Amino acid sequence: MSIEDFIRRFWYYGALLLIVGIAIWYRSEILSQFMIPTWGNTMYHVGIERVIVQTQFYPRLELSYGGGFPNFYVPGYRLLVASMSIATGIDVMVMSALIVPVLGVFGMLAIYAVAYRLSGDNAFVGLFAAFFFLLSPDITVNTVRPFPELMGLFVLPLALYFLIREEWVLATLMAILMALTHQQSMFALVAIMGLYMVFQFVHAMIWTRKFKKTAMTAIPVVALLLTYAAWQMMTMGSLNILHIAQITYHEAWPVTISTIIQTGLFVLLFMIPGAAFVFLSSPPKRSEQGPEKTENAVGRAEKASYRLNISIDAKLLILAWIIASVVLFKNEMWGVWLSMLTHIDAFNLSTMQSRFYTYFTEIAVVLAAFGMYWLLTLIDFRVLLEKPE
Amino acid sequence: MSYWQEFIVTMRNRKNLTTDVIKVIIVLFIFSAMAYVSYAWRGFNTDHYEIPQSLLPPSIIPIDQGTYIFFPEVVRFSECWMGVQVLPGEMNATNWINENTDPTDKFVDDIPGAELVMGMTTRVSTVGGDWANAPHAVSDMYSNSEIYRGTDPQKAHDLARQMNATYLISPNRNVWAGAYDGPVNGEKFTDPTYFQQVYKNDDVTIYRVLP
Repeated sequence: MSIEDFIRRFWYYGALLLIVGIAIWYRSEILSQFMIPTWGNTMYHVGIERVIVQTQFYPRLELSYGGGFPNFYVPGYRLLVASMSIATGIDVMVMSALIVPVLGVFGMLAIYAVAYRLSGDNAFVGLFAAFFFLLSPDITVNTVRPFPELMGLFVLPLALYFLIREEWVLATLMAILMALTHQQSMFALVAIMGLYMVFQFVHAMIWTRKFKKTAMTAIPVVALLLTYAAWQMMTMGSLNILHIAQITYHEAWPVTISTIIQTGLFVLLFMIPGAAFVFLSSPPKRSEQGPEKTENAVGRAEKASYRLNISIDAKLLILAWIIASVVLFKNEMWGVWLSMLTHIDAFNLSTMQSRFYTYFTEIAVVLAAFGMYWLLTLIDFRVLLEKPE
Repeated sequence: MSYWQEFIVTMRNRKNLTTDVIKVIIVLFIFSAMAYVSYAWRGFNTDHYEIPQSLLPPSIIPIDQGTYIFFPEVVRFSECWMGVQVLPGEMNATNWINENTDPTDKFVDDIPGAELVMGMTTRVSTVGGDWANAPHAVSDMYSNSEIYRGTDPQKAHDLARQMNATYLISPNRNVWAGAYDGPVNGEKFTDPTYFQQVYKNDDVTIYRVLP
């Protein structure tokens, strides 16, 4: 094989490997410290994991703030770390550190997968999304520390990947997993899926009159809600979460320009043209896609026309992702009005806005990938026309 | 195909090839530059630049004076979150806690220290962890803060006892006690009427809260 052939065949995987390598390298830095990073209550989670390892049960009572009250934090991430610690005999704190590069890279690959799918199986958009994942300080901040959000940022795009693939069983399983992994990520996922379901319903009402997708999308949404409701009832004996401290005391982290900057300079730069490209482009016409592919023509047709195919479903999901995350990270704005309308003080949420912003960053990374693709098509970068082998 | 036609096709392909190679080099440069700026570039003259308040209309996004962007972007923004708030000696002290205290003992500590104790020993502290449904997290944070900030040993002792604490941890660093961020006013813990020193290393002292 000539050098040219070798590069042509393997450059894509080399680039992806390099991106994965950088992600692992940066996240592995925490292994060089005498203990794991402490920001984000990481050692509190280690405490619960240590109790699991010692007793083989998930503790029903808290270790926090004097302890002795119900532990309603969902167990998914903690059980993962504790079970790996039990299986390997490695101390839970060390296991927490070891899991950071693994789950961090899984999160990146989930973004790769969802971008790949949203672009109509275009491997370049996936690759660019993985690259922009590396360049986002906000994503990095939340994937370099061992805490449940690390897993939430992996499960959320994966659940949406299965949703857009119409793999309803796997989407439902991911939704259930999310309900038991990280409450905040769960709110983001249920908001995105719920809004997508509404958009599908409206789309079906106006254009197609086919409601299967709406109905099927409802399954993971309902499964998530029921799972979490069961957990909440089991641990707290109540479905009411409006009295938790984060809402009562408004654990407010408003989204400011500092938060937005942490999306990443290049992510922001490419996100805007990416969004325009996604929503202004129309799916390729049948004639542009070529004739129905026969067995013999598949390879040639794919090579000759490896273009984006952003489906209506993809656009609806991207729109739902953007709007849901904006609604969550600006909860102080609508919370005031909701509180005034209902006369329920607790609805004036004003809580954890900048933490919800991270779910917007995830879709910003995907949009930036589309933006980069658009830029490269502008300069007629013909490498993009050929599907990687 | 005539000689001239062949020649023109060859030249055109060569031109396309050259253009493609140049494009690949430019694209590789763009990607490398973005990665470099994010992970290694430390700015032209300074590694931080103030964002002008006039960049966006305040009605859209207000920009506070003194809002900066730092370079290398990913490293500077993430390194502070990758840090450790406690001292190595506090980690060493958790061995002593495991070996010399009862699992039901309760500790006065600041939030990072308390979470370290939770993580390494599963002992409960007065603050730290998840405050979502803690019955009196806020009052405990104020009491805890007063213990570290105040000068009166009796008051510190009484507050610790009110929270059913049996030990008190005094680290040699600024504490984040819930409602107080600053140095430990540690003189009061040496009063033998209220506290008994049971462990000490370069970074931390542990006292028993006397009955």
